[in-house]
Amino acid sequence: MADKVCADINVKFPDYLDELLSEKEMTELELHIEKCPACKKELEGYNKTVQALRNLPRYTTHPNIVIRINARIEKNKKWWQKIDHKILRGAAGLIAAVVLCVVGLQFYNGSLPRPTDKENKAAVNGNLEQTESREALAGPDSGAETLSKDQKKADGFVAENISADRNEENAGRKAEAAKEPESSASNSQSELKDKADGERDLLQKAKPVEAPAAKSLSLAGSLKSVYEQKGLYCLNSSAGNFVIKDKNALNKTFEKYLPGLTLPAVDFKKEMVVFIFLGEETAEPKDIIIKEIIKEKKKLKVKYGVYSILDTDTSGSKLSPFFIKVIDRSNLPVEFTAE
Amino acid sequence: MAFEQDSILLKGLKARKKHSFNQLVFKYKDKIYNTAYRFLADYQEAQDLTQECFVAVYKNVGKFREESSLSTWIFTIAVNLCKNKLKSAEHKKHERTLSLIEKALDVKDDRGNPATFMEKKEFEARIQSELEKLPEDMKEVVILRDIEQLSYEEIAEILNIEQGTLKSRLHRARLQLRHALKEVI
Repeated sequence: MADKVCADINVKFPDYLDELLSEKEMTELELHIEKCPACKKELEGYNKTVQALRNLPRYTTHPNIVIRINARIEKNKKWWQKIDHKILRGAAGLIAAVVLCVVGLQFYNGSLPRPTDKENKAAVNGNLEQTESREALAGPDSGAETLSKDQKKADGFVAENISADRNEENAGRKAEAAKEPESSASNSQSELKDKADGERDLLQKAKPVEAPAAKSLSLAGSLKSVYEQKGLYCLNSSAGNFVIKDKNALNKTFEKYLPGLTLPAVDFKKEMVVFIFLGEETAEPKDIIIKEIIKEKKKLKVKYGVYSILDTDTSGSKLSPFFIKVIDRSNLPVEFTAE
Repeated sequence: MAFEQDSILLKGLKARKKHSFNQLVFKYKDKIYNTAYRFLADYQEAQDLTQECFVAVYKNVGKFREESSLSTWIFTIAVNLCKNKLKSAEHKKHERTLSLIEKALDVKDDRGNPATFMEKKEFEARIQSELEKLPEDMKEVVILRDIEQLSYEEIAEILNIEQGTLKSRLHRARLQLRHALKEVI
């Protein structure tokens, strides 16, 4: 019985030393110790052991330990972790700025896709409605225009057929109005694919440059356009604007200045072709955009704009931008106005 | 040396501020070093382990979820490293090295009583030797409670055991040491 009491008391030694016992337990333990020499001796020995452990000498680390730890961290770092965070952040900022500049410039120059037709739909809705009836009448042309779009997809070239975009947007309405046979579309598609292949050689060097506001241009134009082609490189080194009204002249012009570019299918009974050449440019690269074609009583006015572009070509080729547009045939004199 | 609060140091540490990390090392280096020494009984290994512990702290501070205090987390890393080291063959083969301090003190100290000094050294060596003989689970509680004097709460968190288990384990370890050191205490 006494052993059991002593064992119960011994168990309380840790809490007794840490003063974690309740007052009652403390008094009980102390009363027992006074009466029991064995427990008293045990407690003294226990306490001395704990004190000896608590009083063990404490050592200090090597004075260079901080340097050693830092050196070890540096050694274990990957190369990108070794770069100063500020430098890394600066470099990331610089790269982001350069990317933004490049994207911005390309967007400004028109090489990046502009807002899609759907996005533009709302904006141009009013204009579309005005031109709708006229476009509907242009059903037979829609095949060629769609082709022009395919061709653009095929060789990634800039050649832009503005009417194609517009027609694509209104394909449903046009299809209804024109009721053009499917065969006609497929024929013209294969025709245009051939055309695209031919053009690829000549236009390989051409930068993908789209004229800004090109889409609104066609809508603003007073005469309907059925074919439009523009590029930055051709073999005509001198500036000049002219109109071609027969097939032979068109063939010769294409052979001379635009070999490799497929001839557009032009019905010279109803249509004629307008050419604008800016000539070879040595400084300040520019591109052309036809802004408006206005039929007046005594003349046909072709208004075009010239705007600066960023020449990123490093091949050394000189720019010689051109713009070709097929318009409705007219016997009126044509006046070219640069704006 | 006055140190900043752990919460401030932790904030700086997470922001990879060198100043905060160095302060943290200064604050805990000796505690970790002494703990490691009592586990491993080797100065050189204790130095290496202290370095390893702080490198681990630096690397893993991002993963520290602050469910415990920073000091508890650092001790947990140190204790786990010590346990791994004790199990390693490298440690078992290792020839014990004397610390620079110990080497210096091996030369007769004219300022004090060499006899007393030797007695102290022998006494400490005896305790260390008995400590090493304890099973690992008892050794760790004695080191953390009696030598490092951490609270029961902290130790329970570090070792991931209940406080009741901890207390009974500590009591058994102390009784074993008391019995082994009867002649010298």
